[in-house]
Amino acid sequence: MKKIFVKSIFLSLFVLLSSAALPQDDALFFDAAGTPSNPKVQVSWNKYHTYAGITDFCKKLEEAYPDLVTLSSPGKSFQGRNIHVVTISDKKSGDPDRKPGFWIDGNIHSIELQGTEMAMYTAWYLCEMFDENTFINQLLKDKVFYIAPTINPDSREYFANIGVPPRSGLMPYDNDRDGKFDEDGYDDMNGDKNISQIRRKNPDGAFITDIKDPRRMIRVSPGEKGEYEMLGMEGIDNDGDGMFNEDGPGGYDGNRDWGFNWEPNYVQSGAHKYPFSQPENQAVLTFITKHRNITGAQSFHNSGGMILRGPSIQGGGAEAYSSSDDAVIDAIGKKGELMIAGYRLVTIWKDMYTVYGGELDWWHGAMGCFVFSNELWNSYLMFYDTANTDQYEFDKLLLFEDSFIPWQKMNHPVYGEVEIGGFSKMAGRLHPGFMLETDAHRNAAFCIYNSYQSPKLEIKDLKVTKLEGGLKEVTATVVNRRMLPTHSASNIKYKIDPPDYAFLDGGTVIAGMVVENKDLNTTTEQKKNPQRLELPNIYGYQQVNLKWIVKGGSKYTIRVESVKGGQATAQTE
Amino acid sequence: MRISDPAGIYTENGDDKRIMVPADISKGQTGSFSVYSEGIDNDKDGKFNEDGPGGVNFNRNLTFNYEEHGTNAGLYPVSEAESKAVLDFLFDHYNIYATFAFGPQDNLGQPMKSAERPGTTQPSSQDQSPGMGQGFQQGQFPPMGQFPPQGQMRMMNQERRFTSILRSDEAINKLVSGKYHEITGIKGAPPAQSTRGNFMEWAYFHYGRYSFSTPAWWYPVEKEQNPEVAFLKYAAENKMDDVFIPWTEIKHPDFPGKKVEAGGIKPFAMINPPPDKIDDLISKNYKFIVAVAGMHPELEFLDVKVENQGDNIFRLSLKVHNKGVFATCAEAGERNMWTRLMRISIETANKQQLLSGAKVQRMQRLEGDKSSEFSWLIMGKGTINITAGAVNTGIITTSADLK
Repeated sequence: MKKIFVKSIFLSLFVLLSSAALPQDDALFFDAAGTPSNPKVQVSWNKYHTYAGITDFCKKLEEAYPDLVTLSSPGKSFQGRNIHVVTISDKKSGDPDRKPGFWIDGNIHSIELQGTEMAMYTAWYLCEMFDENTFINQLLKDKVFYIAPTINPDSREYFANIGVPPRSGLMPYDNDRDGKFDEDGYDDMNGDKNISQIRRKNPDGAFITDIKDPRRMIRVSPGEKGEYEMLGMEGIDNDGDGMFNEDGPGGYDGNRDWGFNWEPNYVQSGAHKYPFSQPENQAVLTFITKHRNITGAQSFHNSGGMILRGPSIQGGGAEAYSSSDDAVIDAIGKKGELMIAGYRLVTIWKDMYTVYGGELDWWHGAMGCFVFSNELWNSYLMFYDTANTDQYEFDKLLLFEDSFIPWQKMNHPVYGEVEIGGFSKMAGRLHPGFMLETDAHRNAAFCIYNSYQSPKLEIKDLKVTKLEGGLKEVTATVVNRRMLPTHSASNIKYKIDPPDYAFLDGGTVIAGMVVENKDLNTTTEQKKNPQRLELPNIYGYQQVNLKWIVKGGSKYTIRVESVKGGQATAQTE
Repeated sequence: MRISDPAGIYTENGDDKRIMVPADISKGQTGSFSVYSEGIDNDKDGKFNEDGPGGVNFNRNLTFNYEEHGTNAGLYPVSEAESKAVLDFLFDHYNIYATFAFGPQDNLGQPMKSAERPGTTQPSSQDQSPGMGQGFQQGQFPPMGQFPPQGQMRMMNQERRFTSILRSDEAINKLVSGKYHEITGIKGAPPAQSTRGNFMEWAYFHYGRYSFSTPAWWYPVEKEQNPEVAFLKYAAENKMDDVFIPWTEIKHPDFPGKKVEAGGIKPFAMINPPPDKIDDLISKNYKFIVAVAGMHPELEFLDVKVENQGDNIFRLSLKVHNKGVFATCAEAGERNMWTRLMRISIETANKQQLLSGAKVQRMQRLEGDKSSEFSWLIMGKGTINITAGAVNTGIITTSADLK
């Protein structure tokens, strides 16, 4: 891609900003393709971020790019942490909140950490490439990104500092229905901030160690002699009720809390009292309901290497799908399969399982948006091979046994002498450091592609023809240059957003109509308020022809305003 | 308001000309009126009164059978501060075993009926999986896109859903409905009101409690009779003379040159009892509510027995009996996380040793007048304290001397 600014200008501009990061020495590097040549905000993309690290990153990005970035917080987590939303768009080219928007959130499930890094990378990449890359530059002129790196900061902190958190946030929850809250969770008995497996020597046990890799426990065949029994996860019976680890912190599910196709906990395990019971999701809701310009969204999860699309229940409940929407979703998803190696497009209810009250269905059904959820990381990525997905070998050959906690002896108050060990919390579902940036880039590119395909409206062929009696006929065509329509099927069915409006300014409008067929001159007249024509939808790559009969005036302006499609204007000479 | 209009689809009712009804073309009727609520098209969009103040109905805003994007249903279930306030109070009070509502829904005049529900039978002992508070094992590797066979997991959730009253709850509802007629002397039942997202059904299906509701007052409607006609007849018989505004011609800016009249039954007259009947309704319903409260679940210990087995070993056995009429938990609430599970626990004295039986056990739900038996084998003499129940049933204690 062509550089817009020569580097010397870029550097001198940078020096004026008194930013935290120092520019790198040009004598030491030259550019790799597709990577920011000299980022103002230095980030190591082979690490995971604490909440403080995320906050620091967001602030630095805002300081470094005040013309692109606005940091805001629509609400707080249960423990009082701000839910950060980074808004990224070229502010000089128009109000970001009136451009087609793309939402990204990460980490809704606490242990699914890397969505945060993917979201942060996307934010970082957009900012750092704005001055360097023509495509990104134009994209941020046309569009806006709203990026929430973590919408579950409490449990992320728990992960970083304490142990293995629940999938949910940390509101107290009575998992075993005994009237006590969070009284018997896992116990990190050896203080290594991990919750390991417990094994005990037992000649009648069902497990032996693998000869090829003694770290691995394998189940014996019937009749074969065992060596160990497996006793579950590290912990004790804290509340003395005869059960281990049955009521830890939290324990509901942030992704069963959304106000569409919602069902209670006995139908949908993980549901809380009612939709948006959870303050973190309430914060997201607050932000999104104020940003109806959002056309599409990505909610990062892990794992399995899937690009998930809705519906999440058979038939989609009250969601409306049209064949043209389906085609758009599939076209984008298929492009994702190409962009993100090892990932495949999957329909939640059909290819995975039923989910009630999931975020995706709410986006699609309640907000009328096009949405995907990427399940980050999969076993293919270990050896770029679907046939060999041996995690032990990967740990040994590539990570030098850094993701495995060796079995160690310990005295358990109930089980007696046992050994605890197994893969660490950083293994299995999370990218190892060296692979984080690669997959972050691919997933960021997929989000960028999603955003790029949101509607881009233009007005063409504006023409004035004189009629008898001093009247004039003004005709114009509104065209959508991208794949997404301005209104999804749900949006049209439920009137989630107003229709698109086409205004004619200048002169008195006598009549206004949509031209259905230019050649046959079939039209649909709008009797009320013809100066502002209502267009129910402008489909992707399609156009709408408009015609007005006008009295007076000499110069006419056509304006199109769409909540999700942005604006366009054209003026006669 | 009604507008004289040959293109209109409304006509006067044959039994009471004051009432406007849709013309029935199959009976050879044709319409001659258009009917709207009183108002003008303020925003000139061709619709009348489609966006007035407020607009979310509490009784449509709750989660059960919620109508997405429905009229007055709200942006999402429990979107309103009022809905949240009521529900939060209820969710915080685990001791509530039944709810009672005066509202449009009725299951006292006519109890709810259980319908055939394919695929809804549940193993009653199955609890939420232990350890759910922790999610899943770390380091557990998810194979690439491997899931149980299609359909198997997909069905998992759907099977737990039920949308008509469960059998044992149906029996209680029938009993309570009978009591309602017996105690209040009120006959018949109001016309059924099915509103999606309503409170009565929410309290039963999603809150998992016995739920009762009645409008408390209604007027008789004969089969096939127009309810408005029935109401005006009832009003005349009961000397309610302030319920109808005669059709009066008005000038309307949106219908120039047309005859427009405003009139009809006064708003809410059909759903609120006339003031002179309120005292009587209150005292009757009060008696009923108190009587129903007397049916609450209540635990007691029966047959507490200590058998000396010799060798310093004792067998302690007992029954926990629900002497109430209601079950310890509505069947609908059995698997609901917002009801508590009963437990029975024993506390041994120093030096006593539990040989058999658990220190803490979960107790199965008990129907009215049903019992559960428990026994323990204990080594050593001394006093054993026993506690049983949950906050919604009351917690009972007893003790036994092993000697």
